[in-house]
Amino acid sequence: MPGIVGMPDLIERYFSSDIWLKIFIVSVVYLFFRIKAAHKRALFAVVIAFFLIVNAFVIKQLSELGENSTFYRNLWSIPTMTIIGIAIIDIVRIIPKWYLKITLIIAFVIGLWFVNQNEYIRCRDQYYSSDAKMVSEDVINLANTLDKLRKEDGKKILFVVCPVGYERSYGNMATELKLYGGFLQLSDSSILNNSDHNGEEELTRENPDVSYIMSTCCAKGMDYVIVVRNKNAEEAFKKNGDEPIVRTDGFLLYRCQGYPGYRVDLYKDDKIAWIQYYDGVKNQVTANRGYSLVKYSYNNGQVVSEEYCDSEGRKIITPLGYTSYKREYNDSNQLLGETYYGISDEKLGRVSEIDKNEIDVLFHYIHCTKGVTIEDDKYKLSTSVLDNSFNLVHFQLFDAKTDAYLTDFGRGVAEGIVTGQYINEYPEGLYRLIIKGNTNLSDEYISCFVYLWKGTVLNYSYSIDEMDQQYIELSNLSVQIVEEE
Amino acid sequence: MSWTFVACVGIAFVWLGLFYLWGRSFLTFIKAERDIASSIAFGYLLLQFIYQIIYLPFYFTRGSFRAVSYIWLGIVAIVSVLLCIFLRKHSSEQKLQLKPLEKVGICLASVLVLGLAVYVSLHVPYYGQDTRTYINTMNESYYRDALWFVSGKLSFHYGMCSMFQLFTVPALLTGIKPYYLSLFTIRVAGTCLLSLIVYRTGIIIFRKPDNRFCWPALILSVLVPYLLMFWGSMYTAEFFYWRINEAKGFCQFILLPLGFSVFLEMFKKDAERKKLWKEQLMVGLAAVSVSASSLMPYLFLVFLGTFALLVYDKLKEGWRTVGCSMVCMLPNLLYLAIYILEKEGTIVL
Repeated sequence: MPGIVGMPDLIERYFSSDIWLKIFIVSVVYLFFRIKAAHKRALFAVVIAFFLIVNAFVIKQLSELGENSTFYRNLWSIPTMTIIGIAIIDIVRIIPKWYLKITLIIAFVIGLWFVNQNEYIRCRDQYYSSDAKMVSEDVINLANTLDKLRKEDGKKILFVVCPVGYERSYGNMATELKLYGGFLQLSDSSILNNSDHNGEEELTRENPDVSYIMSTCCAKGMDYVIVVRNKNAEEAFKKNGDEPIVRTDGFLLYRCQGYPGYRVDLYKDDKIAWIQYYDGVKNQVTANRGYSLVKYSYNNGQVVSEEYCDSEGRKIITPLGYTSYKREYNDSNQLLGETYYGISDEKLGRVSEIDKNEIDVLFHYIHCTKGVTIEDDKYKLSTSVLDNSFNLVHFQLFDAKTDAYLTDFGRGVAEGIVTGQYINEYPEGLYRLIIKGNTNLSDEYISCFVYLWKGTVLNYSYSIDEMDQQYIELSNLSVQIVEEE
Repeated sequence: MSWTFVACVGIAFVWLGLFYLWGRSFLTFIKAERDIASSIAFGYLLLQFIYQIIYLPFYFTRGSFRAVSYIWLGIVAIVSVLLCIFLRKHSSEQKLQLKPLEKVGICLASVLVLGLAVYVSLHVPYYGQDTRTYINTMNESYYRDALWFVSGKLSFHYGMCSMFQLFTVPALLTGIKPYYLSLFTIRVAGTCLLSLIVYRTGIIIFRKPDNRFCWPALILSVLVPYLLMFWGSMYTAEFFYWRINEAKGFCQFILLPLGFSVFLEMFKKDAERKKLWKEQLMVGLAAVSVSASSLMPYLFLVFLGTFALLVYDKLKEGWRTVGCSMVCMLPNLLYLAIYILEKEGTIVL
């Protein structure tokens, strides 16, 4: 909630703009005349003390400290409706004739009726279910089935992917499922996001990419996936040999297993999962980024960290240059940022999802492959690839999360200084910039992360000191983002 | 209505019964007036406070919810037996003789309040961000045996209130989902507690020295919860019908009104100030365990009340009044200090 900006705002929020503020004031004035002198004195004291704390000056000071958003709670110290109620009963009591009492009560009720006729009694339209269940039958069916499966499997927790943002007539399916089935670790559909797929769309559209959904869910350590039921979705899953465990009116529940990328849970509870990657015929495999074991950590149903290891469980540096990353969420599970760590848990950089001005990536950190040696400001890149002669130097840009190649620029083909500018044409996000000899992907390289906006200008320069068929020597390597004025 | 709902309402009444036993014993112990409303209200605060004392060390050491709850249950079970014996020895000889019409009035008021509680429970499925957090807290406790963590970290801001853990205890005994306990049990208990505290306030205002049955207080206890249903204020009345199952709702409609009523009684019964300060201390001890939102408002309430008492007494025994109010504020000031130190990064939990 944004902070209070002054007394009128405070009163507006506390009393709303309806009739009750006026009724409260009338009640206080009425009761003032009904109490004895000593109590009047005390009441004055309360009013003075009240305005010592609740005034525009204090609100302004708290605002500057960023602490006034909950200031209105102080007003709860005065039970407003109880005071109004006391005044009403007292007035009714002192009226001498019974018919006058009844007339007054009827007038008051009619007054309320007209004042609140848009919603004369609160929440009257909020009645959802005749059997006191505030979640839909769909959710109850899904949650109860999953609960049964959890007990059969002897698992403490189940990991489930579902269309989080899927709209319903009320509530939200994922929220209801999470609240009703507290044993579930529900994952955001964004775990299915990549450059070609939107997770939310995949789980809700009529022709889902079943193979992609299931293999990704398997690889991410999920036990089950929920997709929106429609005419074609079930058919698409059936073609891939998947039968739903449960069909509800709106959703289909599938078990994630048996896909290429299928993994075995080496260890799994509600906080940590160690995932070993296997292929479709259960041969242990190394994932395409060089790791075969991943340690996922969870909190509040979200993956909060991933740590990459080799088959022996030793931490490794992925080709992306980091060993692990941690995600931070706020209380409503909104992603705040990601922090990347090296092999000795040293912080490499952080990307804020909320305030892009907080970006702290990563020009100070440069990751080099094994065949690169650094001495002072000089870099020597060798090649170990047979018949792979060096004949040029250039920058290449990759998507940091998918590792997909995007473009190259800044070519140098002879000894000498190379300078230039690159204007980013890709969407805002985290990228990996590498500099390397020729185009063989197996070559040694130097890489760093860059966070780029569309239109970001990079000034680059480097000097090719020596270009041999088996190695290249570079110096004065510099990449700078041109600050906008 | 489903049997789950009926069971949840039943649990709410078991809670109220337990609150009554403990509250009545507390009021007997401090030799204060022991009406049913005060007994239930103070009983809740006492039980919540005891839970908090056990909870905090476990919270700071990332302990187990089940361990906290079973220790609390063990203590409550043993002491409850002793309290029954204690109350039998101290049973009141003067019992209020009710006329038939008064009995009818009480029954009618109970039906109306319970009806409103059912209405609020069944008609207001509010899934605000806080509601989700609170129900998730109960789920974390019950299914994962974890006390409250935010983003994998301990946070005093979010962990200093143990209300939701207390109300998750019946899930351990009955297997009823915390989701239902939050929606139904806490709402029914909260609505009843609100009505009882308003009743207590009504008695303070309207009861005459002859100690007869107080019709205006009974009517007030029904009128106020119903009037709240007509008020569309986002941060006040709406907290009743949307969020009475949240700590903020308990703060606004149970804790602070109870503290207010204690001050009110101090103006009416000068001679019983000592007992009433003990009651206020009980409110102060339990304030943060009921709701972290009470951190500042309760201090504000005590500040207002003390200021008024000083003027009312014309500063007679002023130091005593200030001293008593400081003692009542002390628990909240302690919580506040830790909260600020953590927020500034001076201490890390």
